[in-house]
Amino acid sequence: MKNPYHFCVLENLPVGVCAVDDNLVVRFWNRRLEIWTGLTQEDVIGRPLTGIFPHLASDDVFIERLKDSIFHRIPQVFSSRLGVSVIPDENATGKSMEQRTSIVPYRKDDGNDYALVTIEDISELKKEVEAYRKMKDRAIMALNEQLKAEKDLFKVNEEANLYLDVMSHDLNNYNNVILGYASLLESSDDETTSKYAKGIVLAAERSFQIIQSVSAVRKLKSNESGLIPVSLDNAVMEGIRNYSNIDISYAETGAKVMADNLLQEVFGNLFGNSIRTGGNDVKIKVIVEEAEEYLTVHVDDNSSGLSDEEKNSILHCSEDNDSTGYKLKTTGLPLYIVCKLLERYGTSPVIGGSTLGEGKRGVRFSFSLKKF
Amino acid sequence: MSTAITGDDIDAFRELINIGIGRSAGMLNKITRSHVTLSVPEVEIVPIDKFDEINCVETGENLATVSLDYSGSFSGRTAVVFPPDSAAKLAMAVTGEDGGSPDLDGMKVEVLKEVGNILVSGVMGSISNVLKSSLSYSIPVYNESGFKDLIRDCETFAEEYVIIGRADFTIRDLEISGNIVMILEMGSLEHLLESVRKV
Repeated sequence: MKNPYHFCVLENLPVGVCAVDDNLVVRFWNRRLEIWTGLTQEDVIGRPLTGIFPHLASDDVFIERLKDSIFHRIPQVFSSRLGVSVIPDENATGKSMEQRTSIVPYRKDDGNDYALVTIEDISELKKEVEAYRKMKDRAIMALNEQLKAEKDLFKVNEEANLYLDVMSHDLNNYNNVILGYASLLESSDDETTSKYAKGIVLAAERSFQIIQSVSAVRKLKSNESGLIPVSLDNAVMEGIRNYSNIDISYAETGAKVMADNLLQEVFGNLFGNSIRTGGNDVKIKVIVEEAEEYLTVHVDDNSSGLSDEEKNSILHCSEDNDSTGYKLKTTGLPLYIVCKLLERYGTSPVIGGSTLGEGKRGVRFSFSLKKF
Repeated sequence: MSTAITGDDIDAFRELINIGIGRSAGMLNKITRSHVTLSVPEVEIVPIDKFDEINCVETGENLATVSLDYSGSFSGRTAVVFPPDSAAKLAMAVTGEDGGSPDLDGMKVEVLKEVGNILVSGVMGSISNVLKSSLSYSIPVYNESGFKDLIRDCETFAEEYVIIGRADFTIRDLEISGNIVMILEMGSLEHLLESVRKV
């Protein structure tokens, strides 16, 4: 028997289509099904579907849903994972085929009801999904490893910070003892003893500075919050408080600037740098000038100044490159911290002539801060 | 609506939906070879404009829905709706897949579509059987959207009432919740109520 004319439009579709009547007898069989099953229209038309595919006869659910489609006119879809494979694995193509089946009701003009059974080969889709799943699993595994590494790193960092805290605290204790005894010796009548004691005091103060700088670098790395309004006076005065024996002058302004709670480190480190190059007798002056939306801050001293290499390194300190090690080596830790903090505040230091120095002596660090 | 909805009406709908999902559970049991149980659904009938006040529906925007539109002696859309994690769990449970990521890929969607189709067919088959109504259906459609989108999508129905049935599935010791929602075209609820009261 041949396919009836009214189904012919389905003949050459790229999916397998057959029509069964309300007795589940096959009334149409398209070309794709002929290829996949090796059964021609003549072989199947007029035969029950369960006769052609005996495995369907024992599948109650398939038959029930097929009948639902014909008698209740409810379309049915069968996934390749759950639903039965209409075409058995040992098909004419010799290849196992992942099948997705849909059944839709069809009522002919004469009132007869049919079910159109559509079978799609989704083997390629399945392969793609499986490849995608594998790829996703690998990505998840890599992400988990990365998260674990980050967690480990965080733990190691915390541990290192703890050691740093303990070490800074203990070293400062010994520095205090050294400073205490050295200060007593400074007032000795013996000139040589007093001279050596001054040296010891200076060395101990530098040791303090180094500890403070290392602590500032740590804060710099861990504190990445945004800019907030802070009191310029408080930041300068906090910096001065660390060097109570040094001649530092500052006229308070009452101004607030956009920075963060590390602004005092800028002043502390600039003062520390002046002492490094000018000794304990150095004079420092902080001058603030209004410049529209900004305040220009100058830190002048009468020290011996900076080397050309140091000046050059500070000039390029805001440039983003991999020369952190070089910058650190040439500017020293205090100026490196100043550069990094000012960069965070959207500015950079400029070096100029100091109002305090005589001749070639003295250096001026200038930078601008946005007013609040 | 001219006639008020009574407790008996709700009971009758619950019974119809229960028969439908009972049949669906039987089918799911067979094809998954797992013990699938479905709880007796809680049923509510609410006007569309009061839909936001219902507590039993999922409120997410990424719900997995399988829906069928129908027309005939009454018209509307029936859908099963799962929260995304329930949907993935359900797809994995019925296929016996262990572990893996909980997102819905093409193969899981396919499985979910079949499960949704079985549930909706069960409910609609039960209703049209009892009411002896013949309806024409669209093919099942899978979507990921919120409840509001599901309703907004069928604005052409000029719907006014929604029947919501909440059923809980238990498959392989996993508890999965889902909603069965019928969005009815204007006048369809009256027709349905009339038919239900005659049964």
